[in-house]
Order: sequence, then C-alpha cells, then structure tokens
Amino acid sequence: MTYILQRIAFSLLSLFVLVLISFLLSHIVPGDPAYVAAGPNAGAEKIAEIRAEMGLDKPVATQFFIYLGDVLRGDFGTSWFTHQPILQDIAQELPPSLELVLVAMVINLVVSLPVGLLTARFNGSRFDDLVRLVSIAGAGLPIFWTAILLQQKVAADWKLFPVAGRLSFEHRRFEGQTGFTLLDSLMQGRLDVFFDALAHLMLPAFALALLFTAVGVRITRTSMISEFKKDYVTLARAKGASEGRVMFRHVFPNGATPALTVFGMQFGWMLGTTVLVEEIFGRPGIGRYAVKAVTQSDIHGVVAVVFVVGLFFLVANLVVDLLLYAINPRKHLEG
Amino acid sequence: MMTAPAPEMTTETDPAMTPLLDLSDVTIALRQNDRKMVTGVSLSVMPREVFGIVGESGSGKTLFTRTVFGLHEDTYLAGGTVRFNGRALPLNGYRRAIKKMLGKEIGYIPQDPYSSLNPSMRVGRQLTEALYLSKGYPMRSQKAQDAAVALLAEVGIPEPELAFRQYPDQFSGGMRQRIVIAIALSQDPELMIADEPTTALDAFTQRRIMDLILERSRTRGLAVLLISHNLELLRQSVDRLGVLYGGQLLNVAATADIGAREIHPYTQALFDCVPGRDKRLADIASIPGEPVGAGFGTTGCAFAGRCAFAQDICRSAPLVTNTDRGTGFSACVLGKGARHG
Ligand SMILES: Nc1ncnc2c1ncn2[C@@H]1O[C@H](COP(=O)(O)OP(=O)(O)OP(=O)(O)O)[C@@H](O)[C@H]1O
Ligand code: SF4
Ligand SMILES: [Mg+2]
Repeated sequence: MTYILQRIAFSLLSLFVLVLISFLLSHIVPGDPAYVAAGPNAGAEKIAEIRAEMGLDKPVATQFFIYLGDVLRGDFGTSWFTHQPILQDIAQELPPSLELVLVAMVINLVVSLPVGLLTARFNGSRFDDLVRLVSIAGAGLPIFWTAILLQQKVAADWKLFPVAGRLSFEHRRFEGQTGFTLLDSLMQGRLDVFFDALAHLMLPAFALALLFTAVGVRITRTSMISEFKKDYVTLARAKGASEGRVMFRHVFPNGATPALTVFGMQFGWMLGTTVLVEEIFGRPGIGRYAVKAVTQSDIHGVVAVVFVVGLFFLVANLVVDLLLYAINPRKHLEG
Repeated sequence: MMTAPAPEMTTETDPAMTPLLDLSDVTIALRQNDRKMVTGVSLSVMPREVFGIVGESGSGKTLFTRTVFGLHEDTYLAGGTVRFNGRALPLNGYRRAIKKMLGKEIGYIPQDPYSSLNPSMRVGRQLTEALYLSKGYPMRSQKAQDAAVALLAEVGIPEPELAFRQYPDQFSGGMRQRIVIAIALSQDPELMIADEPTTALDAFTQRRIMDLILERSRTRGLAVLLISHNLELLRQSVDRLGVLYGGQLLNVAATADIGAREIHPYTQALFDCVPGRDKRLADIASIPGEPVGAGFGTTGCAFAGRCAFAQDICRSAPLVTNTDRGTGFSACVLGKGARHG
C-alpha cells in the first residue's frame, strides 16, 4: 500500500515538473509573448495592454501559479490557426494518434515477448543470430524511411494496403462518440468501417512499431536470459517440468517484469514519435497538429502537445508499475 | 580382496547389493569445444547410502552432478556408463533419458536457496507443482494442498498453512532451503542430490539443515549424494566420500578411514588443512601450489603438481580405476592409500 502511495506521489511530482517545463517553454522561450500576440503592427501601448491582459506584468511565480491553475482546468488557451480552445483541438486529434500507438504497441508486444523469450531460450543458436541481425537492422532504420518505403512498395506498388488517410473515401462521413474509429465502428456494428480503419492503420503502425519492437526484442531477451541462469529454473527442471512449463510458467512471468517497465516508457515515446508517421501517411493526430502549430508559430499549441505526450508518458508508466505491483506485491518490498 | 568396511557401512550397505547409482568411467565434455572437463569417474551409491563428494572450488563438482543428472546445458556425457537401479542409460540421448527420472526417482537441491525458489510463485504452488509433476495430483486439489502443508510441517516450517500462501522472499535462507527440501521430498525420490545445500547459510543454520536432510532421508529410506567443498561437514554427515580434483575422482574412502589409516595423498592433505586439528605438516594451513581446475587437460594424476610424493611416473601413467562396489579405492599411481587387506 505504501508502495502505491509512493508511486502516485512520484507521478504527481513528475506532473508538477512537467507543468513547470511547459510553463518555461511557453513563457520564457518565445521572448515576449505579448509582442507576438499583438501582431507586427501593434504600437507600444497596445503591447502593454495585451501584456497586462495576459498577466505578463505580474511576477514570474504568480504567473506560474496562474498557469498551473489554467492547465489543471485544461485551459491551454486558444489556437491561433483553428480558433478553437486548444483543449478541444487536442481532444479531437488525440484519439487517432492513440489508436495508432495502441496498434503499434500490440504489434510490439506480440512480437517482442515471444521472440525475446525464444531467443533467450535458444541463446547463441542460428535463430538467435538471425533475430539479432534483423533487430539491429530494424533499430537502425529511420522511421520516416521505413514509412516511405512501406508506403511506396506495399501500398502503392503491391496495393496490399491503402496508401494514406484514416478511412476510405466512401467512409469519410463516418462519425462516432469516442473518436476511436476502431471502437466506434464496432459499437455501431459497422464491420466494414472497422476493417477499413484497421487496413489504414496497419502500415503506419508497423512503421512506428519497427524501431520499438527491435528494442523490445533485445530488452526482453536480455531480461529472460538472466532469468534462465537462475537456480529456480534448474529446480523447476529437476522437478521434472517440461521446457514449455519452465519457459512459460517460470521464466516468462519473472523475465517479463523488467521488460514491461520498458514497454511502459515506449508507449510515451511512441506517442511523441507519431508525427513522422502521421505526416507521411496523411493521418490526423497530435503529431500532425504539433507540426501545424510549429509552422504557425503557435507556441501554446506546441506546449499543449508536449504536455499531453508527457502526461501519457507518466500515466503509462504509472499504470505499468501498478500492474506489476498487482501481479506480485512482494517483489517491491525489497526495493 | 578383503575390506574393512566402516561401522555405518555394515548396516547401510552391502557390496553384493545392486547399487542405486552406478557410474563407471564417466567422462564429461563441453559441447562448445569438446574439451574434457571430468574424466574417468567411477563410483556407486548404494540404496539408502549417504555418499559425499568433496572438492575444492572449480574441481568440477557442480559440472559433474548437473551433467550426470541432465541439468547442464553446456556439457554432454562423452563416455562411460551410468546405471540406475542396475539399468544402463544410453549414451546417445542420455540427457533425455535421465530427465525422465527427474522429479520421480531423482530429486535435486541446488546450492543457493535465495535463488532456487521462483520469486513470483507462491510457496504452496511450487510444492503442488512438484506433486502434480511426480504424482499427478491436480495442482488446485485439496489433496495436493494437504500434502503440501504436511510437507512444510515435516521440514519444520512454523505455520505451514500460512507459509503455503506466502512468497519465497518472506523467508530466511534457512527456511527457504527447508522449502526446497520439502519440494524434493514431495516427489518421493530414491536418490536425493544436494549440491552444497548449506554453503549459502550461516554456520548454525548449516548444521540444522544438514541434520534435516540426513534425518529425513534416513526416515524415508532415500540415498543421498551430498556435494561440498567442506571436508569436515561431509565427514560428520556421510558414510563414504568421493574426492574430486581437477575433474578426476582421486579417492573413494569410508569416512571412518579418513585420519585413521593411510588414504590418498590429496585426501590426506585436505584433511590436514582443516583448521584446528594438530597438523603433521606443521604450519601449513593450505596445500601448497595452485589448485588445478576441471578440464586442466594433462594426462596422469591431476595432483602431481602439488603432491609431496610425486614422481615422473605420476604425470604419465593412467590413474588406477575404481572397480569395487560399495567400498573404496585410491587412484594413486604409486598405490598410496590403496587398501591391501
Ligand atoms: N558452462 C561452462 N562452460 C565452460 N566452462 C565451465 C562451464 N561450467 C563450469 N565450467 C568450468 O568448469 C570448472 C568447474 O566448475 P564447477 O562449477 O563444476 O566447480 P565446483 O567444483 O562446483 O566449484 P564451486 O565450489 O565453486 O561450486 C570451472 O573451472 C568452470 O569455469
Ligand atoms: S599419483 Fe603421484 S602425484 Fe598423484 S597422488 Fe599419487 S603420488 Fe601423488
Ligand atoms: Mg559448485
């Protein structure tokens, strides 16, 4: 129980640091936000007026607490290019990105865990060498390059998957309550839309997953190898357990624990990496939103994206740690 | 050949009996480069006998036992014969054959109780799994649970019902080793192998765990193969003792003979450097020279580099091989410590 409280307190502290960083980004970095906000033709009087309106004449500490209050209320300001509250923009752009990240994460886990376990079991075999080769290559390929290659070859040339977008033209008017197309289409019983959305997700998710999976396989393998060396594996074998039982009942639950912590972090990293994939595959999402915000010099939009990605990073890590705690509370007592 | 068996042996073993475990001329090599690590080991463990193997660190005790019992990944049985209850196991597919006996006829206790229990599995489940694997009790059945709790009580775990539900890291090293012993006992083996079962424990706990192993195996009528680098500990615990050095089995002696009559020079040297005993070799707390590890790769006696009696012939002549059953032998080329009626 103390562990849970400690862990949550740590997350709150991290959240505070995150707010502080985004405050610094939005208030210090742009130089004089009032000057920017007033536009190129404003006179000194107008700028002073805007400065007062934005609270910029107050001490920095006061400004920070005002900012903290705003963020906690979800008020990130208004976007200069969508003319909507930024929170509303984010709420709209987040589901497609999360959908992409979740599918990529599923690919990552479905490949990394079993392949990591098997390469650890057959450590030094040809299979292990082959996987090592593929994962080094996979980790070395830049995401944008993989994405373009997949788009050109698999989608454009071989026509196995759609080239770009989130849904086909005929489904463009599809609307749902949650914004997660996969979920909405299932809830409405629209399997045609579901499979269409899934087909559009496959290549971007694969491009996004490749690098993370390459790392995931290596991390899982390392963690499993150190488990295979432990005496409890010898004891399990001495008890007459089959290799399958040794691998799945004994080694896997122990070896997966440290690996899962890394997967939790990867979730946040993935969300921060969607930008490349979303640009190339022309998918809506916070990555593309961030690019637009940057090109439009909308610092508040950029900060909001940074904040949300950071928030998901924290939440994902918290969830993983609590999950691990739920699986085996004792492990955390030792430290 | 006349032999003078130790007092324990007259009751425990009889040379005419079929040995439970019988190794002859066993050679073990590394898979990776076929390097011979253990050569020409012949010994037999009689039913209900407590047999010790002593050797310095690196002499190949763990490598030897884990290979013979199919628990080593990197080695194979390169030669010799292994018989269990008189039945010879094939050299080809040896590991598969011996593995079928693990958890049934053969139980194993690893060295380090801190890592030999699965940290994320409850103690009870690790026991019911053993019961399931050896006797087919369904793991969640009341029968399996009752048997597991009874075993925990048998090895002296206080509050066995509570322990059943706990995780290994809630127990001290000594308690964990008791749990491991309970797991081994649960499968009713005929032979229990314990590789340095007390080395990781403090001196007081060591004795209690050793007593537990000896007492339980005597009551249940199991044979024990006890491995240790500690000659004193073994002398207090076993009927007969094999001495491993540089991957060679140099000596098999009745415990009572050690210190009482001429034995193999290496065993004698080991005995002489036990602290607190008046030493014939004054002021020598350890055997001079560097110990030779398993797989050292020379012919002749592995001890020749450190032996006070060594002659040229020791480095070239083949060692004396063990041919008798349930008695003892000395591998010394010069016949030192050999039994001459
Ligand atoms: N998998 C392996 N591959 C190569 N060499 C090995 C392997 N396992 C053990 N050895 C070597 O074999 C020798 C004997 O090791 P072993 O662990 O059997 O010694 P030991 O007698 O059990 O010593 P200790 O008292 O330290 O446990 C050592 O020199 C060791 O380096
Ligand atoms: S064979 Fe030679 S070197 Fe080896 S123990 Fe005997 S006397 Fe010593
Ligand atoms: Mg050892």
